Amino acid sequence: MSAPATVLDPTTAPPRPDLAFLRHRARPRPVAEPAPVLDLTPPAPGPVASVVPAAPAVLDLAPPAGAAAPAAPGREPLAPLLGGLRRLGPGERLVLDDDTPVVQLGRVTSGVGGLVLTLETAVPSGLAVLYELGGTQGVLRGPEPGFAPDHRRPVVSLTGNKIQLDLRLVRDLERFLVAVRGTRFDGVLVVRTVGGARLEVPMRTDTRTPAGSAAPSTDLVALSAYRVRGALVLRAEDLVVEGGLREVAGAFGYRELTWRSADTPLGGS
Amino acid sequence: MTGMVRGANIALTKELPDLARLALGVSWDAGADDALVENLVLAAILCDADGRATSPDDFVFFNQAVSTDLSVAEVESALGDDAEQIEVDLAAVPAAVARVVVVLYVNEGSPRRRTLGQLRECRVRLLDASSSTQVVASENLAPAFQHETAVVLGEVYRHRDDWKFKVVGQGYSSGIVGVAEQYGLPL
Repeated sequence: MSAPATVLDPTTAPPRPDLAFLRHRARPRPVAEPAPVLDLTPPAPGPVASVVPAAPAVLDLAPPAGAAAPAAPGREPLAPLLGGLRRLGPGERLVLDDDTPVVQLGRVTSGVGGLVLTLETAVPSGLAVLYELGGTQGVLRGPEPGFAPDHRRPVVSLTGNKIQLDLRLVRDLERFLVAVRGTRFDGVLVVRTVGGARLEVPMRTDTRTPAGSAAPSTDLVALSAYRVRGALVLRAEDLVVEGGLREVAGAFGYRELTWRSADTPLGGS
Repeated sequence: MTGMVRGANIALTKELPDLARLALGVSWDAGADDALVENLVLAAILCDADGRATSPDDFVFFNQAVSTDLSVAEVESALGDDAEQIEVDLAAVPAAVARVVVVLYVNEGSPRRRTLGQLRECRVRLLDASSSTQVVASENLAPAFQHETAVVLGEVYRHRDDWKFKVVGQGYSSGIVGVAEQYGLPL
């Protein structure tokens, strides 16, 4: 057997400009100490970088360093919500677009009543929702109604053009993703809160298909959502993904799902 | 057991000068109605002297389990037989907070609609959290419930230099949305 090859550490190895087709990405390593506060101060004009990390398996509510001593045994302040994000006001109507792609619902808005997401469009479209509940990933895909984790007490329900989230169980909901299936995309995904606030995620008509050609069905990922320190952070994605829900799942890190085909997960849902 | 009727009040710190931490607990009997029990939520609203919520961050419930000043917190394991409890550290309550309003509501996030009228029994009680002993309990508030989906159970409130507690038992058929509007709490 030949001598073992030198193993290079990616963080200190010299760059390889000749390998332009390869890129190194690092995933933050899991840490035992409290999660760092994400700095999401808005950058100079330009696309907002996606800085929300993969959903942690355990919500860490440890207080930030330097927090005051608790007033009673075991009582600690809640970790502050992510800074620099647009906050949805009560009863507010807000359009999520290039200028404001991300919004944060407070802990009260994220925990009272339910969230209702309605696809309002005249174009034939189907809805799908990927989710992570209690550490388990799954997908609901129309046109049949679907309920997760089960029919008896669903946290996520999909019926026709509507998705409902029961926020009584928001603590089990780590993240979710809404995709629209169609040959072209037009209309709005509307998110309504119990306090009467309304988020609108417009879907632009797909202009990439030459007029008159038979366009294949693709998925437009309209909205991603993550629960961070008890608050739901919603982001307009406006991303067309080809290759079925399997590719959508892969693109957004829902990697625990296994697939029978491009659109059908194993075990059904 | 009869208990304190709606509208009755008790001078807490006058009668119990050593009372520092109290727990407000709710107990209920919903029979076999799991769908109701699963959606019942106990919450506290910290209010100013005008009866308005001091801030949206001072609505204490399962998803925001402690107020910003740490004076009011949702208790993870309730003392005694109560289903849920809210704990109040009287000395830590800021001067701007004149009342801690305790609410029980049915979270309406699923298609299975339930009302408080389906409860057979519902009582609010107050305990000395340091000793886990009951100070006072309300009468059964359930018989008056019909289509309401929220009820203000009671209030711990300042009266001059003292703290008092009163049983309210005011139901809202408009649910937590109606309660929030009443107390100026943004949802």
